[in-house]
Parts: sequence; structure tokens; C-alpha cells
Amino acid sequence: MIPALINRITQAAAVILVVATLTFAVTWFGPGDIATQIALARYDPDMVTPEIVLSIQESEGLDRSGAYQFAVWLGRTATLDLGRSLVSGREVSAVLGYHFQYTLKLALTAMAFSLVLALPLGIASGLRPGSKLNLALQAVSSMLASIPAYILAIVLILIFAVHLSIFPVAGFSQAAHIVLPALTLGLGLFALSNRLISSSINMVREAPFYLFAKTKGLPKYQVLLRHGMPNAAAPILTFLGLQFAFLLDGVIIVENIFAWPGIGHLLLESILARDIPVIQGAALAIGLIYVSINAAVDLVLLWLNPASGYQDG
Amino acid sequence: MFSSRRKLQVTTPPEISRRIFSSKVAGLLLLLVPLAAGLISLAPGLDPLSQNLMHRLSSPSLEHPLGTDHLGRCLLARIAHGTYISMGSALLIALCSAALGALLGMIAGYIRGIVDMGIGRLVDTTLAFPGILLALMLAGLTGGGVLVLAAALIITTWPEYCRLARSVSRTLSGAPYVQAGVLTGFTTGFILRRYLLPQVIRPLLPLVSLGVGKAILALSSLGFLGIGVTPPAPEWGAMISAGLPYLREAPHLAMFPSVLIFMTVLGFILLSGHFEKKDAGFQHASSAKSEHQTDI
Repeated sequence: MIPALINRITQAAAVILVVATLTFAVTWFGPGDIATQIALARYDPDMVTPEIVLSIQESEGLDRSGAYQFAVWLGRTATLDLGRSLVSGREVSAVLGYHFQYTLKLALTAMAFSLVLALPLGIASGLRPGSKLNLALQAVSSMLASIPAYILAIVLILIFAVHLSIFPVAGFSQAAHIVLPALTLGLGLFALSNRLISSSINMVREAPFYLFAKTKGLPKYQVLLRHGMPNAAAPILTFLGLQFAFLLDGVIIVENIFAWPGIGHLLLESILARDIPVIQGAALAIGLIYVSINAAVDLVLLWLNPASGYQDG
Repeated sequence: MFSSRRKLQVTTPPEISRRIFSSKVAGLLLLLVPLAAGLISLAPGLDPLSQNLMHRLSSPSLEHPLGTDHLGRCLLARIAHGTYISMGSALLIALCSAALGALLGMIAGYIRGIVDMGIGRLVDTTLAFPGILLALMLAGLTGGGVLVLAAALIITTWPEYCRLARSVSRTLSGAPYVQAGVLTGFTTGFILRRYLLPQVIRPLLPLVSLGVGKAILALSSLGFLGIGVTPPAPEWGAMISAGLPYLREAPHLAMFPSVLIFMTVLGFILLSGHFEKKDAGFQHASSAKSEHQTDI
């Protein structure tokens, strides 16, 4: 248990370091002169002279070697000093904090939507393999998995915002604004999770202990709640954790379609504006969340089933 | 992951709807559409870039079977030529990624020891890396085209194939016929190529087919956000986002590419299900496979 724990945490740390290195490398070796960009951000474009660019190069240490700059950047990043945005001049860490709460809100709401749909439907279809419900869900899931999030978003906008005018399209001022982006993400998750819930329940349904509980005359709901659910829970819980990681990919796309001010939206905006400190900060934040979720899921798995840590697989 | 597909097959009677939704026929029929689109692009006189501002946003007609877009470009020509970018590069991504994964996986599973450990670490590290983040940053910052995107997606998707190839070749490396090959004195390269590769390819097929679908989704999503392809190029996702402002007067602009993406991806998913089923009767690696199957 302990070695596996240390192993997993070391690996997470290594991945974060790789993410940080890549982030730095991509932004630093990308096209365009950074000093000029900083100068353009700080001063009026007409005022920027080669002298100013040179002085910025000196004061920011941009004339030093790449390795030196990387070391400095890494040291600053480790103390959570991410610098200031080239565009707005605000502290990157503050900007990230502000946008992160929106991403978190969206992810949690999407997760809630998908569970409200997937839990009852998945359980019902898992209890009746081969039923119409099961087949219908299978078909719906395949279709939802074939529709990219942005097309689903357009369809939802057309139905709920344009034709029915129930929910607003884009923005973030009211609570209702979260409905459509969360539904887009939630349906994508639903496609995966209802199949998993269904097959976990179906596995348990065929287990001897489940049959025994049924045979000894327990009421149906008790068989399901006391004997079915607890045993089906482990794979479902694991998957829920992994879904958060999956959500992160979807969030980047969906936030940008609905102009939802989360981390993904921030990342794309800063890429388009070449706002390097913000790009680095947002990419690091996303990588960090991703890695922590993955590590946390693995550790929970290990805790649920200690044998998995020793499995040579 | 977790799957009870084999069990389900035992308990489920063959049903018509099940056949419709997961047969090879349905998948292949759906894939005929993008294939036809690819062939149409070879027809003379179909230029995806030539504009005709007098005929912008026109509905489908004889001259332009799918209508024209906001710059008066023939939509059929654009969709047809877009097949190369959207589906062609997705195929390329899935195949390269599978080849890379299979190679490393076979080596890791056959040679074992420290090589296996090293490759295992690489797999774990890569799996823990958010793929779309790398693609977004690489393509967004370097301004590179589809090839940069493809590289980013290959780098982040090979581990899935590697894991599967590793467990298959690990299981097989102890098989009598492989041992016979070793005793005959064949080189490791020869054994990998002639003894293991043919066995590894079959269980990889469902993953590859699914991988093509995923790559189409990823590429078109990034294209939709304006990353990867430069504007006049006819990429399906980019075409949809270009059609959005005209959703009321000319819904066909966004609709046709959307439908095509949907059909193509669904086609690959169904095909993957077919390969998986075919593989279920195949004893090798079925235990290794179960953790890779997704239920869709």
C-alpha cells in the first residue's frame, strides 16, 4: 500500500514537471519575439522602439540562456508567482482563481445532470438485459457518442434558446446560463456512464449472492439497495472520478461555445492574444487538475482493492 | 475499463434492433457516405475555393447539389474536399498511433525486464496528460496546421494501443509456437514481426476503429474553435462554425457537415463494435482486452 502510494505520487509529480516543461517550451519557442510582445502590451504600439524592447529584454532576463530562464520560471512557478497578464496586467494567479470557480461550477452541474439521467436509467436497463429500454439506451448512447459536443450544443441552442426561448444562450450573469453548457457536457457523460452503470448492475444481478437474496424472499427494492448497489458501486465510483478528467477535455470546447468564463475559455482567449503568462498559468492549472484527479482515482481504487497495486498488468 | 459484453451476449437473444445498431452492415453503410464524398472530390470542376458572391447562401440546386456558403462557394465541393482533412488525417492519426503503440507494446511485452518498465512509465505518464491541451497549445501557438494537430494527437493517444499490444504479446511470448521460433534461432525482430504481429493486429482493430472516430471528433472540435486549419481550407468543423451566423436563412451550411461528421463517427463506432464481437470468439487476449473495452 505505502510503496504503491509513494510510487503514484512520484509519478504524478513527474507528470506535472513534464507538463510544466512542455508549457514553458511551447510558449517560449513559439513564433514571435516575447520582448516585443511585452512591450506592445505595456506601451502604445506607436511608442515601441527597439531601445524599449532591448531594455525589456534585459529587465526580464530574456537575453539569458533558455535553461536559465526555465530555471527562473520554474522557481517562480513553484512559489505560485505566475507573473502578470500581458493584456490586462492582473496577477495570473488571481485571474486563474476567478475563472476556475466557473469551470468547477460547470463541471459539477454537468456531472449532476448526467447522474440524474444515468443512474435510474442505467440501473433499470441493467436489471433487464435485452429489454427495449436497454436497446434504446444502447442506441442513444452510440448516437450521443458520435455527436461532437459543439454540434450537440448547436442543437440544444436551437431547441431551448431559439425555438422554446426557455434558457439563455451565452453569458454567465444568471443561474439559468449554466443550463445549456452543463446539459451539453452532461449528455456526453451520460452516453458513457449509463452503459457502465447498466453493465455493473447486470454483473451483480447474475452473482450468486444476489440470487440468494432474491430467493430468500427479500423485497425487490431491498435486494437492489442492500445487495445490488453496494457491490456495483466500486466500478461506478472509479468511473465517476475518471469522468472528471474526461470533463476537462469537454470543458475546453464547451466553455468556448457558450462563452462561459472558465479555465478553458481563458486558455483559448490567451492563446489567441498570445498572452504568454496566462497561457502558461492556464495550461499548468489544467494539467495539475487532470493529474490530481487521475492520481486520486488510482489511490481510491487501491484503497478499495489493495490487490490492484501489486497486479502485474 | 469494465465490461460484461461477453455475458450480455449469452443472455441476450439476437434481436432485430440490436442487429441494426451494431452490425457491420450499418457501420459500412454509414461509412459509404464519407467515402463517396472523398470520391466526388476527384470529379472535375468541383473547386472548394472558387467564390461567387452573386450566388451566396443559395439553397441546394442542380448546379450546387448542397447549395452554396456565405461566399458563394459550392458546399458539395467543400465537404468533399474536406474529407481529406477531416477523415483522412483522422485515419492517419489512428494508424500512426496504433503502429507506434503496437511496436512499443510488443517490445515491452516480449522483452520484458527493464525495457518493459521504462515503456510502462512512459505509458502512465502519457495517459496522465490531457491530450486536447497539448493539441490546443501546440497548434494555437505555433500556428501550425493539421500536421501539428495530428502529431499532438498521436503523441497522446498511442498508450491505449501499447497497453493492449503489450498484454497480448506478453501472453503469447510463452506460447509453444513462439518458443519453437526462439529455439530455431530466429532473431527477436523476426519473431515480433512474423509470430506476434499477426496476433496483435486483430485485437487492436476495434481500438483503431474507435480511435479514428475519436480523432475526427477531436480534429473537428479544434477546427470549430478555429485552431489547426487556416480559413479557406475546407475542414468540416470549421465549416460548421462558419455556417453558424446563417443558421436562420441558410441552415444547410452547418447542417450538412454536421450530419456527415455524425454519420462518419457513428460508422466507425459501429465498425469497432463489430470487430470487438468478432474478436470475442477469439480466445487470445480476451482477458487483456476486457479492461480496454468501452461499452459503446
